[in-house]
Amino acid sequence: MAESRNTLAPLTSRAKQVSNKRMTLVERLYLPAMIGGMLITIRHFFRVKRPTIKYPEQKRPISAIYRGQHVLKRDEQGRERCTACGLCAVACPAEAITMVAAERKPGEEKLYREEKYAAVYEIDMLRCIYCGDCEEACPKEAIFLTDRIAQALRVRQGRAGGTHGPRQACGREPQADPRCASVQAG
Amino acid sequence: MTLTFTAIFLLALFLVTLTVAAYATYGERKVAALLQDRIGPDRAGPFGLLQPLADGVKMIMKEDFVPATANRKLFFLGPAIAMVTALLTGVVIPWGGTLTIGEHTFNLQGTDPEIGILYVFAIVSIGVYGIMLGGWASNNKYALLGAIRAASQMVSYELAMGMSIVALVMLTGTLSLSGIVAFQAENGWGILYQPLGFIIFIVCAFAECNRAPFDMPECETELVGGYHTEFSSMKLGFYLFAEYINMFMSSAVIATLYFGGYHVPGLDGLGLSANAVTLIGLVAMFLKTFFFLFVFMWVRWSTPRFRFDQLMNLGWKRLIPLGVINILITGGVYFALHG
Repeated sequence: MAESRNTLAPLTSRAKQVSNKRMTLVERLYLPAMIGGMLITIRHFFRVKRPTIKYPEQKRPISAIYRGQHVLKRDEQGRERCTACGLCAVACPAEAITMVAAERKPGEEKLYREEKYAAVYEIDMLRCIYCGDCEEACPKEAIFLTDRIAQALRVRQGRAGGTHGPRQACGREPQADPRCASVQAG
Repeated sequence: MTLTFTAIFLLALFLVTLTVAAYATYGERKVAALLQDRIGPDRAGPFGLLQPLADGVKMIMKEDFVPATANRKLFFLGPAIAMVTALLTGVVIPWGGTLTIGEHTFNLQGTDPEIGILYVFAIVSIGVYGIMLGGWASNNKYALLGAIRAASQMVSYELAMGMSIVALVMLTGTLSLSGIVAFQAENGWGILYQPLGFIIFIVCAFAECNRAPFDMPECETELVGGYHTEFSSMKLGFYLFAEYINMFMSSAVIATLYFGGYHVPGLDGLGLSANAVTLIGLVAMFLKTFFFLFVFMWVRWSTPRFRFDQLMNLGWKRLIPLGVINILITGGVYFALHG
């Protein structure tokens, strides 16, 4: 029985032969090992380079394809691109997107590009997995995941309760043209 | 006049001790961070220098909780004893030589009893009561275990520490701390005569201060928080503070006994005035003390904690025999040299 156990081949290449041999006098003294350890730590003490990134002031360089906080974009004339078609909500694997569609009224042509727009566009930020499928699904190139870091949430439960987190109104790109802003205000 | 000076000196010593202890907490966090390639506290004030203040405010503002089953009087007495005994040690340590102002000469030492070193031992021993009473009064198993560990550990290591001191006292022929410093100023530092004694002493000092690698009494992985599990607010603050004051005092005692105290080699030949020599000596004493304070932290963040049986083995089976051998060697060499 014991023999067969000895002849078993190790399961991985990382298997290590351990031994329980008596320690030598130097090892038993403990002090040399301790001084060795202290020399290692003191080398780190004087190391100038430290990997810490002081977050609010410094930011970690992020990848060009980083997927962060969502935003609804506008076109070149400052009109919102989203038409509330709901393809993003269908594509969303986490079922985080909800929206309420509304019809564009006369005089709002400078605000919304097409006759239909999203009056409410909310994303459950606890459910969102930042996969970017909404971005892929969008036929109007309206929703994008930006390089901004998503805000931390202060509440766990949204108004829907259950497994839903708080819904956050998706950020909309600010209007570039001041005339558009005046139209919206009026 | 001398009495006034002593009063001022003691008040200054009190304030300096508290400040050093407060900044030792900051230093510990900073040293720990640097040893681990981190930055450490840097938010409160420049370089995080106001961190002890923020910590103090936090400690005081917290709820002062007393468990329902605790012995209220002893629960209060524990941290008080720990704090008072920690502060008392500094009185006999010679922080510097003598200052001459006008016709008066002042000692930079609170008081210089003939048995200074024994006084230090006595006070440190009373310090066990603070931990013991606090742990017992909490009426909590973890706290009690921590207190028992602290008591047994301190009693065990006091023996070996005493042995290392006996050899030193045989050499210097005096129990007075200023006498020991004077001997070292004349004949060279104690570490040259007592290297083995120094190692025994510093190991025991770590154990006496309940510092890593011997921080059994508050071993978080086994005992939650050890003897101060049930303490909160400034009572906890007192315990933590007392630990840092003890560290500071141990460092000062190590510097005094083995590293010449306020003595700076080669300073007498420069022809400086006596007062200047004293002040430089004072600075040197603090520098030596801070160095050992740093060693305390350095060791803590480099070595893992001992197991309790290993701790007892080391104390009883290694350090005490070594201490006896050290005494024999010291006696033998002394006899061979001086007859």
